[in-house]
Amino acid sequence: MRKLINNPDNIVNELMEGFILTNRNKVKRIGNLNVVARIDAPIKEKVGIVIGGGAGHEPLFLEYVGKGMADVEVHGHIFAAPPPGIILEGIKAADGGKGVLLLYNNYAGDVLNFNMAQDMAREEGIKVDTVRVNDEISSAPLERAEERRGTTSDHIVIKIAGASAEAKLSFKSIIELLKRTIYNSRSLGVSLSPCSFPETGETTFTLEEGKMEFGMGLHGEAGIKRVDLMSADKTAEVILDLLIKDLPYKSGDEVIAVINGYGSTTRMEMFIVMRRIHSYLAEKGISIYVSEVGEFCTSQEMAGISITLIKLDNEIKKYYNMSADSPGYIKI
Amino acid sequence: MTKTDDKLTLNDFIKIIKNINETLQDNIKFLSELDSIIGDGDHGITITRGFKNVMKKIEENIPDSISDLLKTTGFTIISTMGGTAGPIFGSIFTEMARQSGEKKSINLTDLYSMFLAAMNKVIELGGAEPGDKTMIDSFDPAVASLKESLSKNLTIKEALRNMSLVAERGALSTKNMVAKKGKSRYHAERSLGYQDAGATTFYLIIKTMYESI
Repeated sequence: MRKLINNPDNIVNELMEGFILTNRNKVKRIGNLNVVARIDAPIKEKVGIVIGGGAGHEPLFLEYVGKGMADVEVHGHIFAAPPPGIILEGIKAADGGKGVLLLYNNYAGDVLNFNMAQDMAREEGIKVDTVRVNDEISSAPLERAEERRGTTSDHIVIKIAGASAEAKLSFKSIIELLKRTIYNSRSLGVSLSPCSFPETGETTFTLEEGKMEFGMGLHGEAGIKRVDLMSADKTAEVILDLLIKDLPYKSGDEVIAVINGYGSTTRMEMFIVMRRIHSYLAEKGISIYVSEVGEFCTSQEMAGISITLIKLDNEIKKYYNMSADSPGYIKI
Repeated sequence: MTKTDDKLTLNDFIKIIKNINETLQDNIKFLSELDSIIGDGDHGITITRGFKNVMKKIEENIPDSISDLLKTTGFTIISTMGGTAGPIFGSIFTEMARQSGEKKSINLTDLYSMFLAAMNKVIELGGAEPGDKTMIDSFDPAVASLKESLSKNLTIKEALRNMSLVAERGALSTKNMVAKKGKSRYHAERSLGYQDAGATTFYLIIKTMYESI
């Protein structure tokens, strides 16, 4: 294991403490729980946005709390969904009287825990509803898209949620907008080396040197094909071909193109891939409105990248362009 | 032992919960390894974290009834374990608590209805069916075995022995199944040959129950 940690049992708590100290003018911790809220939460007369999921994927979801982003984040254990009790505390911390929206990735554990918390909050008279991100195209075929897991379009979806809530859009309209944004988002990644589970130091799968696997999940879930290492250009083409035909994205469409690094892939490599994304989409007549390169959702020291395409319409574009100020994502 | 005094008391259940904690701590590596092959490798850590907190809770505040003990166990698991395992394993205990009601002791009939209710809750939450390579592949035959023991007028000890054997067979049978639920379903074909971590944990819980009385 090559990690700078103390007692493995304290990883999440110590991560939270360090995060709060770093961003103490922007965020606050709720009690001693693994729950973080923007400093001025709850905001009266605004729909509250609660995000969350397993730890170990930072900046996801932890660092996307702030103005124009989420109101509250509930951080789970490493790679495991947070329990319902603290999600309920998160819902209360976000409740400004206009309803609270739960926004998270579509994994069995998250669904179970967030649903339990939603039931508990409703019993207490809080208006709560749920939107789940399911952008990863290799995790289930298109006809069973509701089973797909959520991955690297998260920060954009959270951005749209935060901006539309900040603009005082109604509860119902925000849900419709987010569902459309998620429907318009497709992601696929490729892994070049495994991630390790930080509490044990054990890798969650094996991937021999010189191989790459398309569609591998953020927790080592098996992908769709394992092949010999390809060039950056070829890798971009393989991923884009699968993404484009999945929506499908058509000539004339305008998209946000995101490259996400999984943890140990360099920005050098990401820019090389982004170069090919631009030329390849141009060949297909798809125009790129904005490109984003960075680590938005990681999986420890896993090497690899994912590409996300989000098809824009005027409304999504409007909220994408509004300002956002969170530790993990800033837009001026 | 005559049928009428063949019952489990609060003290029996306290001993069972303590022993389950120890058994799971002893198997932490084994369970995580099973999970790392076809899941994400944290099952041992997740499950023991929950039971460690249960022990803390019931040592701080000794429960005064069986339903209180089971409810505390279930709620503590749900509120501290996280992941899929939290709601699933926690609900087993909260459902058993609900089913046990105000009873001061539990006979085999009670035990059967408690396990049946717990299994139905797990199915409701997780949506798994037999053959999906989940805990249900151990749970379902185990409950059927309890029912059979009941019809044969066996003692609780005999019934739990049979239940444990069947649960073990059920857990091992998941080796020949392709995963259809949770993160392990992404390993579908690759999951063949490996037993499911959740089913294995369920078997260990039943085995510990048998060995505790």
